[in-house]
Amino acid sequence: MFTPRVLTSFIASAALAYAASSNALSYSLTDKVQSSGSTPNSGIELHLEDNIGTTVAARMLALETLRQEAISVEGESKLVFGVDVNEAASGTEKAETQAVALDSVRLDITMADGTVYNLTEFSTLTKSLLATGNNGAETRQDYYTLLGSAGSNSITGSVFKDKFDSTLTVPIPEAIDFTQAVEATLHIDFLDVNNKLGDPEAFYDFSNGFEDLALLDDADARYLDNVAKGVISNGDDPSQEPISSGAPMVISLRDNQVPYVEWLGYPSSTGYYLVGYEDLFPDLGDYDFNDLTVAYRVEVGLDLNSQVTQIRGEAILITRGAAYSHDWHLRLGIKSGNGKITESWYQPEEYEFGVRGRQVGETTTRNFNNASQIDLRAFADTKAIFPAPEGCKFTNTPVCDTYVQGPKYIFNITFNSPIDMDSLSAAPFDPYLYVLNTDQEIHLINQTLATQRTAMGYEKSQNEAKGTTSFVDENGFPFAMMLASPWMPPIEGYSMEVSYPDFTPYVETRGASKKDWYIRPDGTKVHPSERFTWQW
Amino acid sequence: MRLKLLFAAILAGSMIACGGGGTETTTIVTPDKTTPDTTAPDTTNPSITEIEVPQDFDFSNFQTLPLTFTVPGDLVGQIDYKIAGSWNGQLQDLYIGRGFAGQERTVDINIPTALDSVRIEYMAFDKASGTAQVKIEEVNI
Repeated sequence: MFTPRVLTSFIASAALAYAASSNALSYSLTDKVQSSGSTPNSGIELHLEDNIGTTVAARMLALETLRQEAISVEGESKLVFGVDVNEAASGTEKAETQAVALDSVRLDITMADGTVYNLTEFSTLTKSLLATGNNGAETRQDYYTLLGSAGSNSITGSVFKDKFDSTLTVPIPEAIDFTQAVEATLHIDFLDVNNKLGDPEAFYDFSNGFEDLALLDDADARYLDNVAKGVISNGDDPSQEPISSGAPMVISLRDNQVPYVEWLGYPSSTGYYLVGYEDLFPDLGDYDFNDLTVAYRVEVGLDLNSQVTQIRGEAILITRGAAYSHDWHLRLGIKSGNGKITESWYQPEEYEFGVRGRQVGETTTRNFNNASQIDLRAFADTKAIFPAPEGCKFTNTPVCDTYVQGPKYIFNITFNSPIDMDSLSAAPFDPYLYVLNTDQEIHLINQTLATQRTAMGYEKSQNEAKGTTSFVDENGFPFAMMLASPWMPPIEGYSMEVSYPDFTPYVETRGASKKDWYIRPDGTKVHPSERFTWQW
Repeated sequence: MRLKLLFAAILAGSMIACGGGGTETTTIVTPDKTTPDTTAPDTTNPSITEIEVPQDFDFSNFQTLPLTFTVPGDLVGQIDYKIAGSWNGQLQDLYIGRGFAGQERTVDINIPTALDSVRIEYMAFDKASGTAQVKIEEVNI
């Protein structure tokens, strides 16, 4: 009969023999970091994890084999965990880069002789300076972070290489031999950051979950470390120059220099321009600017020479108070450039954590060569894609109990060679409406016709033929207006001056007074923001 | 020259009321390019107020400003910074960049005209010593 000491000694011998003769393996873990940002209260009990082995002894042997492999290959006694970063792709977090920050990691190990180790040292390959809780920006300190992306560019055939994103390393003291342990429990707490401060906190918050975990062998861990998902967008192809994924304020602890992109947000990285239209152009209409209202933003990526390498952005439809249908375009002047445009469209879909996008159709990709303008048709046929809810006359403009969250458009432009920032047309760029019923373009007051519509594959407008090339009427009124949040669309039929009493003095003083006229609506004549949140 | 507009006159003299004219259903139809739908919508409170529009007023609620700043010289290590403005009840990030101590930068920002200041937050981290530094500057527009 074996005594425990004899048993553990036998297992230790077996472990060394196993390590010497067998490759270590990676294991998916059943428990996850939950949406609360923590592992379950009991922790992740590796000694009970069926994916690792069928008995406690077998599971401990597997952990020891991984530790021995790390010692053998890298000269470090450690366990490496893989984390599948699974955050909501909203705000500054995108499908191509998303992240969480780590508050604490603890591995509790109980040995057969009753000795307990509480290991609290850990590391990842990235950090960021972050403020926690409700603390101010001045309190920022460095924390380890985990970055990843939604989906993998390559299919390696390995669930660990394809599914998981970042590695989390826990050093193991040399004295600990897992074959002499009876319990090993992992606790992880993500950092509760003050995301009211914008980035970097907004990027590194946890907003979704669940984050899957794995125990990684050396090959899988090295692969993930080299690919650097969420940091580099093409890390799976070492033959290419690395391209930044666009994560903000990453402190990389890798030996190699990682590329970096600066971001200029128009109007900001999380805010939106609001633009409203009167679509009876060249007639003025009721001047409620809700015939179509659109929220959009544009982010310009700059390299370290302050040249533009990438432009990305998104748009959301807010109202359609019209019987006409329209296409909504965003036109960017670039003087000259070559590159690629990627576009995708989404409809909102409720799920347990709020609203997320359900992609409509395929992501489209097209190239442009020697282009002086990029004219993006973000939304085509608004009446079809943004219909009124049942019982309502229009979409989000009548007094109506039902609000509809509008579709979202996302684009990404990458340039083959960077262009000068001066080449890019000025913000807010040219958001324009093309009215399908009248073939009229409607632009902001100082913009010109989109002369390259047909070259971009769009229908030629009738503005020139009908002499409607100015977008201001004889009394000085525009047909499209830029508006700042928290402006909310007027209820159908209330003109801007009626729904916003400070609009008139703002205009009549040439903008010298009541600059923030849009924050003081007549509450009975605009849609209440607490009932209608268009952003998603 | 100051121009004058009577909204009442506009409402009486033009298409009356909402965009694209009148009655709508959720049925998707091919746009009729010859006969705009001019059925009057529910315009219960048409405006009758006068507004005098100054000549060439652009109605823009945003302005573009070149913002020049110098990265503090006493920061060490990797220096990230951001320019942020506060509106709509939120701190909004206008520019996120990276530079070096003493560097002068100029960027064009496009912000609501109602905004009268922005803040620049510098975050430095020295990997060798593990030291973090944070500096915040308020800049009046």
